Amino acid sequence: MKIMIDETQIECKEGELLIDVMLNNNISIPHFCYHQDLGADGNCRMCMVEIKGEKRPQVACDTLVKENLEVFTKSKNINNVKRSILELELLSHPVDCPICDQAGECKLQDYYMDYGLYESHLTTPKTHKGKHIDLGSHVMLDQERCVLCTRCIRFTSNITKTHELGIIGRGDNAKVGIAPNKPLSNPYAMNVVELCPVGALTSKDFRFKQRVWFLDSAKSICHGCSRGCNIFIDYNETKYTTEKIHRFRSRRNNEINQSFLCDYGRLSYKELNEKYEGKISDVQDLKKLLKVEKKVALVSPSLSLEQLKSVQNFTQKHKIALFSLPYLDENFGDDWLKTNERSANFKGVQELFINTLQKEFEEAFKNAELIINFDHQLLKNKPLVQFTSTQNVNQENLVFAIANFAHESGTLINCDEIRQRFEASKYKSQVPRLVELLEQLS
Amino acid sequence: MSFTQANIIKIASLMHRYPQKKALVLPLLWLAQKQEGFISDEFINTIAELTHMPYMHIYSVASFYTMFKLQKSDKKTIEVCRTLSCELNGSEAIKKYLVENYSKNYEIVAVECMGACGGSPMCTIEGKYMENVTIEMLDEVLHGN
Repeated sequence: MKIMIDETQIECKEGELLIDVMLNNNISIPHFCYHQDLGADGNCRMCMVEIKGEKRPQVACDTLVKENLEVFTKSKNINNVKRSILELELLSHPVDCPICDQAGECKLQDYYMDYGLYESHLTTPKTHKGKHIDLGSHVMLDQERCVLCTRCIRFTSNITKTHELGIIGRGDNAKVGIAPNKPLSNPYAMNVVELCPVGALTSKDFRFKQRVWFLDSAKSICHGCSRGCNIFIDYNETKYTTEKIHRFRSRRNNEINQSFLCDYGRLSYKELNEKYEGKISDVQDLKKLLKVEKKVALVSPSLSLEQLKSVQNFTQKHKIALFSLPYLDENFGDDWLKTNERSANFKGVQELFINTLQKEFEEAFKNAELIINFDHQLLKNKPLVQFTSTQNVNQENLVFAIANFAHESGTLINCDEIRQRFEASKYKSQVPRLVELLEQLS
Repeated sequence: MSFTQANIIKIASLMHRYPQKKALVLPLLWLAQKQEGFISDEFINTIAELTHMPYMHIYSVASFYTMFKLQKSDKKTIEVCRTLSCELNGSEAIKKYLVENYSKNYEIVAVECMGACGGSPMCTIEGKYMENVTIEMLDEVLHGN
């Protein structure tokens, strides 16, 4: 089926929402309340378009596509409509963009640049509401900046079903809030920060740390569990400091995490800023050690397929028995995104037929003369040859620092056997990547 | 704090009146407010259980209507109608007089039509209707209280 949007022909399917067609084809359509993973609500009226044959402008989030539909998003008439809607949204909105943490990724700011009125008609004082309210779970609320799109409310009522947020009051006094003494508390609470199109909900963890226009993003995958949620790693390198990761944001993937992340995964970026600061051993020393008879290696199931493959090649070449053990945690998983298997690539370990039997590993471990640990959590702080991407390692025998996953690109297989790529950030790691180290060894 | 025995019987009969439990929210909020003078946290919980709705939804509804009180007040309430008939017959002056002289002991609020236009201007004192109100009448009644 074909429709015309601004005189361009677009291919689409029967029964699709007009706004979905536009978003999927990268046609700009201003919207606050519509979200592809929360559905339509139709309260903000921002996505008005003109449709040939209709008397009045229509909202794109409540219009189903029909054969030969002709849509206009950029007429003078429609711009006036959008300007009026924005004027209404901004009646009581403080003009505090310079101190607002959302500036730079704020929908209200973006749309106002396009359709704004700039000169206020308002003569009465603005309505004042609550500022810096701590909702719990690292979420801060500024009620004056809210545009009442109810995305956050629909998230807590339709998706987590915890119902912490709601609209309180009515008319110009309506505001988003929690009931007294009932804070926001669910393991996915921080998604509301990302869902909020304006600066009303901000993350206590990220706010005032960095301006968003100074950040670069790398398309990556969360390594917190085997779900493999798609993320953006937001990082930058400022003058005189090395690269720092400031936050994880969800990256939309309809098959895995939609637009959501769990709070544990979202805050797990902090580990990536840790660096191993102890002494790094000489590669030649390891070469000498490799001459012994009984050798065992344990590899972390969170490494990428490419890394696992090169570890496997290395161990085969030097006749080292290679094992990998899962990171099972019965208390971590739930019925949505979190899984009990807390490694990112255990399916990949199985695909490469790496031995995962605990018993056989323990047997081999007892008799081994040389044990090499490739970043597996079980053997951290044990005296043996370590390849580590974090700091907490007891420095005994040989230790080699390797780059963490923010500096790697590779392939992971998630718990549902979905194979996906993740990309490295653009700055080079100060420590070598695992694959490079292994090349030096051979 | 929960509903009195008499109110529980009332609720049981109200249950049959509506096809959905959701529709009971407003009648139950009224019952709660009538019983205690305001809607307490515990009542919101009870109503949430009775109607199978989340707590936040009940709180949201209660906060939407200005005639529901979420805080306990020591003052008695006087509601002065400000809709057309009462307004034309001088309700504004009455409200002004009340605010100036009685706001220490009474909470004075302006409300919309309460269906007693035949006796305008009207007001209610603790829910009791008073019609054809004059300043003298108010003084007599409120001093007596």
